[in-house]
Amino acid sequence: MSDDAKGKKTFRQDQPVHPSLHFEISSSQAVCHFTGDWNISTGGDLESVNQTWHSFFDQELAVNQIKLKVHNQVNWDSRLVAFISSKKKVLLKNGIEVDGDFPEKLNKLIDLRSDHVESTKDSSVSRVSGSFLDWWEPFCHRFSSPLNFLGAWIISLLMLPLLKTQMRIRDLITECRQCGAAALPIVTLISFLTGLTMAFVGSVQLEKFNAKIYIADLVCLAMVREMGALMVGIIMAGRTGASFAAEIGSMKLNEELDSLRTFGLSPMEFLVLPRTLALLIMTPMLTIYADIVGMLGGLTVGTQIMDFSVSHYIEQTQASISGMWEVFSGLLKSLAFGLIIGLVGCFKGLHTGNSSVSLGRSVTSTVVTAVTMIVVTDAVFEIIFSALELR
Amino acid sequence: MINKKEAIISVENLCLSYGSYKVLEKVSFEVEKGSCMVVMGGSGCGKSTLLKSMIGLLDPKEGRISYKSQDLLSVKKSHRQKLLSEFGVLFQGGALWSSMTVLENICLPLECHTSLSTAEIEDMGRYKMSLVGLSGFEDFYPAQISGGMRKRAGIARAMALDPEVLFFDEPSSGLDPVNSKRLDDLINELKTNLEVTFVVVTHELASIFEIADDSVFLDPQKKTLVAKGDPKSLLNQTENQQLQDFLRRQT
Ligand SMILES: Nc1ncnc2c1ncn2[C@@H]1O[C@H](COP(=O)(O)OP(=O)(O)OP(=O)(O)O)[C@@H](O)[C@H]1O
Ligand SMILES: [Mg+2]
Repeated sequence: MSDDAKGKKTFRQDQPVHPSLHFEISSSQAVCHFTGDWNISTGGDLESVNQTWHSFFDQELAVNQIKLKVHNQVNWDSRLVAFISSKKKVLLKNGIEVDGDFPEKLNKLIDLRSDHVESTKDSSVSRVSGSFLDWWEPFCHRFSSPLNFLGAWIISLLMLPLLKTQMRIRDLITECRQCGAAALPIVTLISFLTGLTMAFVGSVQLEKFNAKIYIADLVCLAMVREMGALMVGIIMAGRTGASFAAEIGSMKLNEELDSLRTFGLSPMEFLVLPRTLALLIMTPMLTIYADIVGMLGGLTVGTQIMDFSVSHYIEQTQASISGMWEVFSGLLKSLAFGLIIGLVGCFKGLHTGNSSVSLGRSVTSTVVTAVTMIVVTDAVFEIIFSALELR
Repeated sequence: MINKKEAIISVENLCLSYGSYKVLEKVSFEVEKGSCMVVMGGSGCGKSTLLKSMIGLLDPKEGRISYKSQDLLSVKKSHRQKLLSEFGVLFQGGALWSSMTVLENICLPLECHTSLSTAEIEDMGRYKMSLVGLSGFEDFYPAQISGGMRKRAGIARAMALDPEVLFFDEPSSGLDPVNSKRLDDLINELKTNLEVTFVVVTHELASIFEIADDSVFLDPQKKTLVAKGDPKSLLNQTENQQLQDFLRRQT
């Protein structure tokens, strides 16, 4: 027989009895008898028990001495210990003498409880009266801390050409690999499919006008001007921005940021600068790559479904780009997106609270904030471009 | 001030709080150069908080902290940074940089603050690791070593730049008795031979009596310092029941 089965044998087979108690009174001495099964596994609530308890003390105001009696056949675990010790504390506070008639083991466990250190959190806290400051300070902080962060970032960026920086080139290279090369597979997949989908959607419309070859123009211009940068931005926000926030945030939880500071290393120069610079370098590069892969997606549809020859499609694509400005405008956007993602991720990481809950919140809010800002910035760019008649 | 030796750090009327939650009030004491000051007190009484304020990570609500008779809170920021760089710190949780190996952790401060060659820096790092009995674990990442080993690696990193003052937050928690004794010996050696000053938070009675020249005892209820002096002489000072309980391990 296994140990498990042997152990089970010793457990009682009959149904557990709900915990209960009753009082016996003689002159000024009261006795409280505990009966039933006082086990955590018995379950149920202690409402009726508490009711009996309280109604007894409400009625018998004269009682100044009570004996708590637990019979030997009562089953108990820490549930009973917790009950008795909390009641005992209240009774003692009210000046009622408590006398226990417990099995030896139970007695020892009750004595173990120590309440001599009470939390003094509320009593000695000096609060600023009035709720205005409570509201105003965090409100100001919300606006001032991103600005402080941005200012510090710009200063450390300006220090860079003076070579007065703590940033290590090694870190910059590692970060570039992490957020650039390592992102190639996903960027390939997404931008290829984006180009492909646009070609499919466009071809249906263009067919109506008998202008199917303009599919090359459509895919090329959309990728170069808009979709390349946007898709890379969104991928980077979810991939790299979130990882920046998580990395820096968990370093904060771990006191690693504090230990950097004690060695005179500024987290701004040591952690934030290599990460943001890596993104600034890699996002435009990935965007160029995404543009090309997206056009390949269009080419696949154009040649395989619509039966254009490869050279015809490529010629049409070349003709569609009127100047390098088309490409640069997309790269300009991607530069802005990279900056947004890097700064948001690092800022949220540095401003993580002291718990893993707030770490999760920082990561989520990094992705949400970055994606929102990317889409808004994209729109602003387009508005500016059209206002300046650059489109 | 009438002192046998000059005070290297002096803390005056320090009040510390997190937001509106007061942790410590009106704490004053001095640390003599080349001595070992032990900070004692029950769990949660603000020892780590006091240490953090002394190394400039937490600005106090009130009070002064001076190092070599210069007020750390009012000197210029760059000068303050220079003063603080003479400190070495072990955090309660070790706080090793998790993206670097143990050896890189110890070498990074040397890389950033000295102009030694890479090979020499590595040699120094290995030497510091051997001081805390961690030889052979140079290429492990912090996540791959045990809690006690992380503590020791943290100690090695704190000593990386041969600081003038070393702050240890519970260095011997999580260490076996042998390593704990070795650490006490190390502290005593550095103290006598290199005149390093120590500020150590510890609960371990054996090591308190071994290393302490001076001590402060913090009380979580009164939120301040209730006793100071050499722990051996505090043993005879019987007015404070809590301190006696602490020092004699009674409840
Ligand atoms: N980041 C924080 N935010 C708010 N309150 C804090 C924070 N850190 C510590 N406290 C509070 O400050 C008090 C002192 O904490 P501290 O960590 O300094 O205690 P300690 O003496 O080092 O304890 P231990 O011996 O357990 O390390 C605690 O009561 C705690 O509630
Ligand atoms: Mg602590």
